[in-house]
Amino acid sequence: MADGNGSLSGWTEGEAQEFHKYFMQGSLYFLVLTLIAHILIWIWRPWF
Amino acid sequence: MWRIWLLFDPRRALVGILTFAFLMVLLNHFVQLSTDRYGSWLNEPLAAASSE
Repeated sequence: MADGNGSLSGWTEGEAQEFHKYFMQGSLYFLVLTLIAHILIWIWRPWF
Repeated sequence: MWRIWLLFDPRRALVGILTFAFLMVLLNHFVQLSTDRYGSWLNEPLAAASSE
């Protein structure tokens, strides 16, 4: 594990950028689903 | 921002993030279940929402 290609995680810049693309896409899906759920709950019983 | 994955191994980071998120969601659902306002969504038909 010693001689990573310079990065501490051992991943290359290309791999990191690609992973980041999917990571952000997945996070956006999660955020949208969460917003929809909260809107539905607000319609049912507002909390303010 | 993507350079973070040059520092942290994405696989372990992903496992950590997903575990943390799962625990938080679990906690929040039980917290809500323990409240008066939202604590009845399991044992009360939704149609009764107009009761308040």
